[in-house]
Amino acid sequence: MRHLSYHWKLRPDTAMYQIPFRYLAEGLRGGETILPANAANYPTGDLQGWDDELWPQPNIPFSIFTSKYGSAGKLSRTPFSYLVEPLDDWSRKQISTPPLVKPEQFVVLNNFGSTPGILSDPTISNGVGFITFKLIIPTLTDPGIGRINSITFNGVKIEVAYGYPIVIPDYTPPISEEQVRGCFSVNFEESTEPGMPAGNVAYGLSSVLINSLYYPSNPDNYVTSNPDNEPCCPPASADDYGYLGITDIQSGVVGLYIPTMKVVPTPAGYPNKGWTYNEVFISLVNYGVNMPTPSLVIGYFDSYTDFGGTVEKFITADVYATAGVQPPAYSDGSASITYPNNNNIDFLSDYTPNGFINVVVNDQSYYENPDGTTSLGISGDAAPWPVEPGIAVPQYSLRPNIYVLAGQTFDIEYTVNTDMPALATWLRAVGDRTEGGTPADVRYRPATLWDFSQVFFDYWLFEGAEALICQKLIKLGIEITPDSVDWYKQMILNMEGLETDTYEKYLKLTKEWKKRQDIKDAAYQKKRSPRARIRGQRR
Amino acid sequence: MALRRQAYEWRNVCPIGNSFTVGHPVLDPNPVVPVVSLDYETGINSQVVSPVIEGAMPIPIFTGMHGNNLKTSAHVLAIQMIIIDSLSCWPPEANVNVFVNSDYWFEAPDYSGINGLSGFTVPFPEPNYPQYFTMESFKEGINPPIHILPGDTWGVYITFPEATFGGELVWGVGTSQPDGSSNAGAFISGPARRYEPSWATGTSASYPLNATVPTKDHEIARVFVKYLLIDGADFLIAKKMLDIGLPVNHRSIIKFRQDLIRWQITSDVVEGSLDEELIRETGVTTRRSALP
Repeated sequence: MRHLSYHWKLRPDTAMYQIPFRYLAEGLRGGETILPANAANYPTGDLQGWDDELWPQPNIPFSIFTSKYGSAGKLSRTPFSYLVEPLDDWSRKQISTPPLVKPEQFVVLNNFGSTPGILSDPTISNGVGFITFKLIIPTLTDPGIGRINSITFNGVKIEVAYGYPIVIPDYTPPISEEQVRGCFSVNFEESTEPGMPAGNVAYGLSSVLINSLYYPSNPDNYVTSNPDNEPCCPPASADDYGYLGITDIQSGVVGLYIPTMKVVPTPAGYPNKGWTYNEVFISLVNYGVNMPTPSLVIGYFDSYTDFGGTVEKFITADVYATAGVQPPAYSDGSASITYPNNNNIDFLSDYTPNGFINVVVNDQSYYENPDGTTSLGISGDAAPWPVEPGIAVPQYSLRPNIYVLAGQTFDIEYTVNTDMPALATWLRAVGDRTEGGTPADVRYRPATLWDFSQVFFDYWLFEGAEALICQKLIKLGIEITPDSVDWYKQMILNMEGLETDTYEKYLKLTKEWKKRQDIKDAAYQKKRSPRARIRGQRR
Repeated sequence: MALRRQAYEWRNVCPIGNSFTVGHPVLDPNPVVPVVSLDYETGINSQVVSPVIEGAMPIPIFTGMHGNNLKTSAHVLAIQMIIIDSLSCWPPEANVNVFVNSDYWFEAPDYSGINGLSGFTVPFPEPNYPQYFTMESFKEGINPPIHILPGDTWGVYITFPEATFGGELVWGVGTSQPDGSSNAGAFISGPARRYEPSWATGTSASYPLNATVPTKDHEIARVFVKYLLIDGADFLIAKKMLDIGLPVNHRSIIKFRQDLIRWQITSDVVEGSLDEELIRETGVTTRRSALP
């Protein structure tokens, strides 16, 4: 006999976000792979990233065990995504089949509760729309080749992409050549237009950073082959692939953009001869007011040849994350990037689900309306969870309990009546030109990682001999509780087994149970107030 | 399913442009404003309305064309029985009453009709905004409970002393304004609302019904009815208990069921001893009860 419980929770682990208006290699990234006909009409600035597959449709009951919604998925998946990536509906299922009561089991559903509330009453918190990294990478002008050796984002190493095709021999049989990652030439002017024409431009610093930081991975397929089978430059579609490292739901991992970078004159405090200075601005979408401050560390060689580099240097990016404040200009005073709405964003969270719970045994719903039609069940206000101070006894409790017999399945169906997909539609329309919106007007975004709805239920699982006792108690008309099962077990252990007078023993047992119940009832009455006691005795 | 604990919850809330829906409505949290106005924060839930309820007018919660309704009226099949053992409502000024066939359950001492139990006595839900709690005498529900027998029709009415939810929110003010004037005249015209956001349709429509846009849950009228639905073998037991005058509730039904089984065992035991006597005296091996 076990008193078990199940806790189901739905919290958004994907985020809606806005991408910067312009960034390097735009038009090639994820959902924006369709190139705009006119550069002025680039779709950047729109809100995107809402994963409709992870939000329940309103008014449609779903199982907290076998649906794709909610917590405790079997497999982890990318927590933030703006791509229409392959979604395996089964990958998030906590339980792959409805709970089946096995032949040697007996289940008593005891009680349940869910998040209360009707109207959406979201919390609105102001925060910074984009966090900005700024860093300067000095490279020796002669020979004009540097190497990015490591990129560490939030403490996670990001694999550096291939760039300038420097190779080193590998004498381990079979003898081959290995391309060195991260090399770049300072002598190539970078392109900011899609889609990164092949050739020399791909050898520059921006392509190395873009291909390293952009979603979704940085596999070896960057290496295409020249006619002589030497590694070469990435293809024009290089930005289809990027790498973000191990996902960390506490931080933004999708949402890194390089809005702008350029070679600047010698910044203050740096040697002014023999060096080329690349100043880089990287934007990171903020996912909520509670998102920890991110960090970006780049390890690099300021000079690199076939014989290797000198000493690896590390640079930690400056972080700008103040709402209402635009990032700084380039070190030469020229404008860098301007975020919409003065880099302010209002995060929406803590919407109320307006949910209902129904219990299903086999294919029959437990709750029905007074006209005989199936109802959505019990609301979170009638049976709230968690129980808060002030709730003496929730208005609804499942008395009598529900028995689920061997061979039957049971399910807890939950229905959300707050139309969250409509929220996404509305917010998207704000920044969508085709809906009459303007990307610059985007002021609201759903935050990430807040609890939308929760369901709790508890049950007793009786197994083996105790399940047999449950069957017997049903036949005797005795309510099945741990108490009654224990008591009956004790009685059986004191009996001698099946004899001709077994029925008489059953009779004695049921009489005994009645006596016990009467004593308990009398004790219950004693505890109650005098008025209630008198009323109870009248019953 | 012989003995089922059921509940019905009514809420005077529906999508804008409607006064009622069949079943609980989907509520769109978005504002009813063009997107370009960006008025999200102040317009949250403005597509959700509480339709006006006339004063001193009992509204049936099942088919009253306010809030969430049923497709048909409540009824009990010939093999079913219902025991209503708990009622509660909101706001406190509202009253809830039950009718069975043609009679109201709650009536005045002189047997005239009254509005019923008030939300001050049986508020729903708990806890609530002003921290009202169920009166001690109703903490365990209605005692004795209300029996709805096979073939009966039944329903629940909610009644407000004055017009409510029409343009302005009355609840919390009481039955009259602080200056002593009545609220009754203030609800002739409500605010004009659009059916759908103009950014979605390109047009705007007037909202023909007077209504209030609730901003908090406690601004929504509600009724919660808890009842036992009895069918199958337990219905026969409950019917028998009624016939012999025993109180019928879920505990007593279970107890009576135990008793019936015990009595059956008793008779089995007695019969068994009789059989032994028969076998001893006649050699017949058939049980006495099975003999022709």
